[in-house]
Amino acid sequence: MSERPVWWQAVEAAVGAPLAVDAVGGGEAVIDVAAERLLATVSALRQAWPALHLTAITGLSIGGEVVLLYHLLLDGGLTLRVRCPGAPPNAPSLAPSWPAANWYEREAHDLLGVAFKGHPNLAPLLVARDWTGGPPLLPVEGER
Amino acid sequence: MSRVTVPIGPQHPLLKEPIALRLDVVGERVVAAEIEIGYVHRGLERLLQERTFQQGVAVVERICGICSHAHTTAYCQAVEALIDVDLPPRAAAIRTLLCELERLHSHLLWLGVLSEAIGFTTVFMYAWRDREQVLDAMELISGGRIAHGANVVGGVREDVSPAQAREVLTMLRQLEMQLGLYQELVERDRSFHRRTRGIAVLSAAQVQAYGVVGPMARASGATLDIRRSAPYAAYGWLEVPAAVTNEGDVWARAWTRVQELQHSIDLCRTLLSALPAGPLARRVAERVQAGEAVSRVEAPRGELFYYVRSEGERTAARVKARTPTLPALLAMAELLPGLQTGDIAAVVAGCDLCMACADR
Repeated sequence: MSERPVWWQAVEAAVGAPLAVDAVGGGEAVIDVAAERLLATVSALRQAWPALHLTAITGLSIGGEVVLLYHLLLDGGLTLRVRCPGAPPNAPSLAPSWPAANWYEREAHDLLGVAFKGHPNLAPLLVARDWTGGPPLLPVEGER
Repeated sequence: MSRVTVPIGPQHPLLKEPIALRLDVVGERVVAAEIEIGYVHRGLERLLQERTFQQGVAVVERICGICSHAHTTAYCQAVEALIDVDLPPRAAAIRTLLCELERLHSHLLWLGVLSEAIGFTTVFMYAWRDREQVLDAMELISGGRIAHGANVVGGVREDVSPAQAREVLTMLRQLEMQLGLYQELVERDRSFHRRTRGIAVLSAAQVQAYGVVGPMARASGATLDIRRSAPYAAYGWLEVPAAVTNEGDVWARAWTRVQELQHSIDLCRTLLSALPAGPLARRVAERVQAGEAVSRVEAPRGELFYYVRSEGERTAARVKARTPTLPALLAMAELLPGLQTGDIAAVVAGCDLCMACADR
């Protein structure tokens, strides 16, 4: 990347390591953030850009590992990629400090079983309350 | 006075779609509100993992019965970014034309719903009658009133002939004449002001905290409009005016949308007056190389976001849609406490909810 985007310095300081930036189709940047640095990174970004917008949180299951993508919008789009270790997968919750994350985290809990530490209420959002079939987006044994 | 819990929904005459509101009231005042959704969750994101990328267009089109074209536009854009194909200029213009026609019918539908909620039945009748003309125009172009099937990966399926363009322009002229009525209602009608001014004020800080988008955010002073900040399809060639105001109440949500009705009419005219020549779509392979892409479009209710991931198979590894109603619902739960019960209908209608979008 020839010219560093505006968020580079703030994010690098919060992540605490040199940034490796991927680009995804659609021209937006993706950076890896360790789960334990997520809250500090988001907080640094929000301080630097008070109008920072949380667009969505996408949960993915890649090769048996759950990955969360935090899609942000400042001058351009920026995605933070967080790998969720553990069984069940877990991640720190943004919801107490940023209510916009509340339902997106509940959705990732519904669909992929991610346990968000510190979330005020992880009740089912989309799936029925009496659903017992497990998180619908996790691969079932025997399926691809 | 004792505290009473009033359950509204998931099935209730006030509601157009299923959602459960549990309101705690003391006398006529709401003191707490809880919202439950998911009653129309159809597992469409999971279904998209079972369909080819081309078949996915038909699935995302059925997420919503109002902004179906916005969904296919956002989805197709993400897949087009994955296979790195340029949209032909004529396809970009027709895609954008349908986006703006869709905004017209969505805003008119909303104006009717709000008007009915606050006792303006005549405006409801007028707005929905006018909306029919827009749906007729979309049907004329695409063959469908609700599911248009106009977008395909790589372009559009439907052309706009000169005769069709003339008919759409005639419809726009008639709609513009009607627009004066809606402008007068919003600007000057005292009864309308009494039911909407100062009700359910959403601050700029709340817009940021809850991630609210679209006309609801622009009615609270936010400037976010994807058509302006990251132009897609043909928006790069067009000048999209901003309809932003700071009041943040139900009235401001109406003002913003009525301004946007005029803007959409102007944008449709500009597009129809100079439709570029050329092909309607590029030929694309069925298999999509491995990779991931994001796409943002300004749907009638605000920023619509798609994420698509391919692992080189015939079907998508993951398709994620974030619709504008989700943050609107979060904000609405904050707006309801403190209101008089008589204002609930105006506030729920004013948030322009689409449960089919929210639940997917």
